[in-house]
Amino acid sequence: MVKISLVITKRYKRTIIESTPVILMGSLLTGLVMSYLIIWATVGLDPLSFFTTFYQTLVSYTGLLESLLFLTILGTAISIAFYGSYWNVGAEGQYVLGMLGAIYVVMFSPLSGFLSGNDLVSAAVLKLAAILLGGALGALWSLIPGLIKVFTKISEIPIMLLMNYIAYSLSDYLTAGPWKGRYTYGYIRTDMISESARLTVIPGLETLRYEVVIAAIVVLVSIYLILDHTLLGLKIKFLGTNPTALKSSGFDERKVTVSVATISGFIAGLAGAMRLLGYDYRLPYNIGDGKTGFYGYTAILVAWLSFRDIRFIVPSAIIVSALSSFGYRIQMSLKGLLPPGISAYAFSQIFIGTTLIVYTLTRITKEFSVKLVIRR
Amino acid sequence: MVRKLGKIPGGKVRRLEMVFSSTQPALRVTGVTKRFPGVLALDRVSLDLYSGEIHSLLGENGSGKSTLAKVIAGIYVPDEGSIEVLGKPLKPVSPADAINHGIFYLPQSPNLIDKLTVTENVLLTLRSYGVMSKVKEVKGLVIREAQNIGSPIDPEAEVGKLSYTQKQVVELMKASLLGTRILLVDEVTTYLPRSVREKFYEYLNRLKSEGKAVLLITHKIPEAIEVADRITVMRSGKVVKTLERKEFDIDLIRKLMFENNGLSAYTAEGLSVEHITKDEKAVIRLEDVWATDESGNYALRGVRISVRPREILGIVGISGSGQRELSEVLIGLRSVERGRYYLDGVDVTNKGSKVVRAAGVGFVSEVPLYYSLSGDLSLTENMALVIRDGGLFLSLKSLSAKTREIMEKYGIVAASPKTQAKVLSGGNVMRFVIARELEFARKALIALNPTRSLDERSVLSFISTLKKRVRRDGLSVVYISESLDEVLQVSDVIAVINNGKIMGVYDRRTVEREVLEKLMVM
Ligand SMILES: Nc1ncnc2c1ncn2[C@@H]1O[C@H](COP(=O)(O)OP(=O)(O)OP(=O)(O)O)[C@@H](O)[C@H]1O
Ligand SMILES: [Mg+2]
Repeated sequence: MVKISLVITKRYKRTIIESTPVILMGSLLTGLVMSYLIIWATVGLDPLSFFTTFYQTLVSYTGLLESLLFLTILGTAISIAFYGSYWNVGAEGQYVLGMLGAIYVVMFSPLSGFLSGNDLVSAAVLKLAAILLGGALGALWSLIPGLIKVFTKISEIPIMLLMNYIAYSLSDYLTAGPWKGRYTYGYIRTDMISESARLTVIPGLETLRYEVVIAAIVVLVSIYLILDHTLLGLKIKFLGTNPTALKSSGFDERKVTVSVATISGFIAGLAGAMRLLGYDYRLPYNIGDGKTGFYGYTAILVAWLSFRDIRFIVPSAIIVSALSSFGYRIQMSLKGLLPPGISAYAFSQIFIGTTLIVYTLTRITKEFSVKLVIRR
Repeated sequence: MVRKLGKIPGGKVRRLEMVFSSTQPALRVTGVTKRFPGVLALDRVSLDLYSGEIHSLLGENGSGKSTLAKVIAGIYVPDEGSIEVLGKPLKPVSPADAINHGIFYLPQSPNLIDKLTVTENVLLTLRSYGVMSKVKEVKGLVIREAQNIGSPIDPEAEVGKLSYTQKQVVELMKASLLGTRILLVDEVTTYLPRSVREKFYEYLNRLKSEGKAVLLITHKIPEAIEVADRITVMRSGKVVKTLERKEFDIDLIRKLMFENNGLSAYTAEGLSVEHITKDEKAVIRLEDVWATDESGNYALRGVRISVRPREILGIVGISGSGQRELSEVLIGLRSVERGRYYLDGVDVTNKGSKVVRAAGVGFVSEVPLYYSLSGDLSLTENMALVIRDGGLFLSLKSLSAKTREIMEKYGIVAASPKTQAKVLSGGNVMRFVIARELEFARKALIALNPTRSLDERSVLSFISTLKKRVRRDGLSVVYISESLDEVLQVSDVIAVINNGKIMGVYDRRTVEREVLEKLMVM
């Protein structure tokens, strides 16, 4: 039997490239050049139109900002979990649960009846309740694998992946069953939530909502404060770096894991609730078919790229959203240029892939050395 | 250039006398300076190392010994100065360069990958330095070398399951396969059990007879005098003096190391407490405690101890007799299978560390970066984990002031409270934990080999502070150590642990050393 292991060891000596901005720009540049070379070799796209597309993506920041905000919130949720060595790959499911909580409050709960009036105060209360319940359900969804981890030592990762599917199914069940809408032109989906329950569009920046901007800032700042200025944050950092020291100092490792799971799930649920109230307004059927935008998964990338450092969340979120957006535009501009059988999608993926690989590799080799060991 | 007068009959190693000619040294360090933020770790250091010599580098904690070794090994790049190997300038920009010049650094904590087997670890290193070697060859060598050092190793064993000694043997194997001519040994010997240590010295002598050069870093003066041909003393990043064998003198060396700094003051302080009230109730009491180790074997078999207020119970035994497990049970990290643990009369069996800590029990362990600190976090954060005021919120400002105050009080050398714990010198990491735990302890202190990486003065200062706390605040102490001398010096009551059992409990004032020694190896 052949066993292959990837061995990653901490580096003694620093590499030449140290500064993160340099790594960031370098990766983008390499990705750009590499993907341009491939496109040029295949279809001969002229450099001018290629780089104008890229430039336009950077300039049309409003589209970027929307995904940037959601990736920031979700990336923070996952990152705080990573700080405490809780590998939250279940943010996608927690996000869906957040949507369910929100639509329940504004459409099906007793609250929705009391507060359906159009006055600002009751609308605000309704929205707040929806967002909070969304957060609570997300927290619950993350708490389950957390408790299983703590009491049975079973890894949270497979359980969370499974629970993402359960979340999709639960949503589909409700959408097709008890929550099925009446005014849907024959589609299976829920009705739209009432106007007064929707989040507020920022004038001039149609893709943004006040509440989401505020939430992103509040989440980022409070996680930063928790980590650096509370006992809980200190415990989380010890949990992630040396759990034995945490235990020998009289703290219960399990309780800290459970707290981290709850906080992380709460934030992910919050994001889902805001997505529903601010953008989607209803639940679609087959939600697992990419109708969530897979934000919960993409955000893992954001958290991973930030390497357990809360200060890198926003830069990482910028990279990831710029990449997806640019990839999409390249795809559009290549349409018609390509010979049949070669998809434009492939090219956008080449660009995203190259950039991320270069970025990740340089960041990893900055701190670690990686080797391959083959055992026969 | 070097004349060997000794022979090595039948494996027995005699001291090899050597004569230095005016020819070039194997390694020459000239005017090396190394700064870290806020610290001048090396200040124009010069040193010659000859083939066929064991050269000991002595110095108090934080004097720059490890830094010098790391500069030679290419791990740190010096700010100024030069290094020559056999007369050729070496610009070590990486450990690989140093290794290619035959230099190998044996670190205090072995640099191995736990998940891989011994053979894989060795091969991995060889390959990454471009030395090809066959699996079979390596396996044979593993078995042979391990026997030479007297610590048998299975080449297929996962490194994570090996003892400290065995891991260091694996490191030595790497050194030997890489064709090392200059071996830098950083405090490895302080962590080896005595029997292994002697084998290790024999091994070093063998290297020497093969014409290799050894730089032996230590802070134990008798050790240096015993094995070294020359001794270089460092203090605050500077070389104070290099002594030839005929100049060796323990008092002189001590003076050079500490500059008389406070050493006598500590020794003058009465180091014994003799005022235990016999009928006081036990603060710590273990009743027939049984506990297993990681592989499920009993490491403690019916341990029964009790410690009264104002009493230091020394527990002595050869390494691996259950000391580590005992300390873990006492602090609440390890659960017991059978028996009871009473703290101040309250049953705390298997209640975890929270209850024990809440009662005011401090804990100083032999591997601070594993048991007590997070190397990646700052000193302030490491302090705050145990000592903080207020509740859920932390005021970094006052915590950092508090940390600074404690560091000053205990003389801990570090750039600032913001420094990461892992960049402190080995001895200062230990001193930091000792400071934190002594400040924290209100009721009792559990100590497991607390003085290993401490220099002489720090040992004395630790013991005297400990005794002061015992006398003044009525602290109870469980002092677990492999060193009988130390236990005799510290304790009021002495227990011997052997194979997980307490073999007997004695009054320090009346017990004979031989009795204890016999019980330890029985
Ligand atoms: N990577 C680093 N970053 C910052 N400071 C460092 C670093 N390495 C060492 N120092 C500092 O340099 C000084 C010398 O440390 P060094 O480890 O060389 O001491 P040492 O003589 O080996 O002491 P010990 O006997 O305690 O091991 C210390 O003050 C230490 O804090
Ligand atoms: Mg050192």
